[in-house]
Amino acid sequence: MRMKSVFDRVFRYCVNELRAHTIGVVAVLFGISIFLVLYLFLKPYFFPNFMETTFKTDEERGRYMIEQITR
Amino acid sequence: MEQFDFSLVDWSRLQFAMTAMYHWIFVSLTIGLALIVAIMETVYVRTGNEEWKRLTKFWMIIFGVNFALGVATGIILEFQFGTNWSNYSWFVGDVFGAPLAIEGFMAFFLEATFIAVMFFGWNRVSKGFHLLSTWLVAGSVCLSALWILIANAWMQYPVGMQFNPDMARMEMINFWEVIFSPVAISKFFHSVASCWITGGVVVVGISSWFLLKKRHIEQARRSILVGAAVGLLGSALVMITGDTSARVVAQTQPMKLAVMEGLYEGTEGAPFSIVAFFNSTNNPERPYEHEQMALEIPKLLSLMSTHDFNAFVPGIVDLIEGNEAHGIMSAYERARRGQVAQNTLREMKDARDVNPAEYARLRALFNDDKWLNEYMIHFGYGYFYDEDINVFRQNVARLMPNVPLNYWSFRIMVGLGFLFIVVLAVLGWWAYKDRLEGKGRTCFYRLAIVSIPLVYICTWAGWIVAEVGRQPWAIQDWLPTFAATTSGMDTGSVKTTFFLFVVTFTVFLIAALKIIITQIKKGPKEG
Repeated sequence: MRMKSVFDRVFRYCVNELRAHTIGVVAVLFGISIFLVLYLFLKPYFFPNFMETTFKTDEERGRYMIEQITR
Repeated sequence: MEQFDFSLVDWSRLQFAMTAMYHWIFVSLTIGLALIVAIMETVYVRTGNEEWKRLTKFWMIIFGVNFALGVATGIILEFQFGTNWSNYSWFVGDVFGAPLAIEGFMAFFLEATFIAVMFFGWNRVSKGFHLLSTWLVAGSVCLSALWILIANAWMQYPVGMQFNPDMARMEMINFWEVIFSPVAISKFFHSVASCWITGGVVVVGISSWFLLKKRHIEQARRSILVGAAVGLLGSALVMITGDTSARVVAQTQPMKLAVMEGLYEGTEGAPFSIVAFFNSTNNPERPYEHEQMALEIPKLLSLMSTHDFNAFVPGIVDLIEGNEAHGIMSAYERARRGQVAQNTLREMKDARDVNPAEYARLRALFNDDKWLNEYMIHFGYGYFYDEDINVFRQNVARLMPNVPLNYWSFRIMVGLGFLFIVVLAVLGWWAYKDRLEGKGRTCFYRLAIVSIPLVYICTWAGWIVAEVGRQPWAIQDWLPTFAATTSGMDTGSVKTTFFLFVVTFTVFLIAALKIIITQIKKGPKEG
């Protein structure tokens, strides 16, 4: 019962603060939207992790990099 | 160099530059306003005057919007190190990653924690604790800048590391050398002080708008007083650190200095050019050669770069063709030695599984100081080497950054910096003497408002000098920008994401401006 009261107070506090600080909400939404765009859309579709998926060890990646930087 | 995809390189550079320029709009004002807000709140706590609290809250909202967008754009910059510059990230990750990680763990957590108290803690924590939180945020935004600028300075002057030839990456061996490098120290103070100027100019500009509209006159006067003081403090620090930077650049990046001064032929008692115009001579044997007409102050460049009126300052030609009398090696010789270093690295890799004795012999060279100083320190120049001298001549033109762009960016930065000193000093003096409403003030109010966009042009110009001026290097003398991009990546992906980022950032900027303008229209009382 007491726990419920604490959660209830925290929940109400958050709701009240979010209602009172519209600019803060907009600012937080900026940040969240950037994360969503980056990790759910851009990263998987435009920037596949080539090094991670092509090679198993750092040693193999190192050899590949030597080829790349001494072309 | 024909094996490199320069279309990919150019689009990746454009994307990074565009993101960095948007990022800097928000970051420079965040750092500047953080100090101004902290000073205003300190006055409020000391005097108990509610007017200062209203002012603090008003500027805090503008600070908050900028802070949020600075974080959003900063995330994308760090994201691009992995997506567009993965060769670079692999090559330097062990050194470059450390300051970025410390920035995340130390500065950003500090900011994120106390910014919550700063915004939501009014009337919930004591005045003293709230003030402490505001100062901790002001300090932590500087701390955040410190670690990022240490990472940037290391790219311009790589120290405290050794190259691991098995992994093809730099490894940090001296943390203190990295964080106390002269480039890092001058860059940090110069950049943070420039942010204080930005904060000061924006506060004075917005307050001038209030004065022009005859609204919130007393709040505007107080804001101008604090904004001008912070801006002038920043200006003084920028001049001192600018002087230090000139000497540091002369020692560590002589090509950058030669390019930003448009100095083609090195000379003793080198003049400082105030205005110059450049024309390529179209000489195929010297593609870097230009004619120039310049208005100069004799010997000033030697004084600025060495504190000696008669010292020799190398020009672009000296740095490319060499100057034996002054101990400057030609670019061709550096490229040849760099090619030896690159071939050795490749042969060592090939010998690793098939010829252990040869591998051991070549591997030992990377621990031999004499060989390292003779060949390895020229590693990056190897990319420009070609046995055909005509091809090499074309390649070597890439060793020189764009002269007019750097030359004029430097002069725009310095010229506007002096303009801001005048605006801040005059309006600050009138605010101090409480004479802001006298005759002939209107043109200064207008000048202060116009200074708001100009201050961003000024700081962008500074970054152009710093970043375009160090081309072609991603890491000075080690890794050119064209070798730092992600191997085999599709240029189309970079193009598409470039336009997506342009649209996203522009929407963010418009939204931020809308919020800020709404707050300004409401003014300090209602804000």
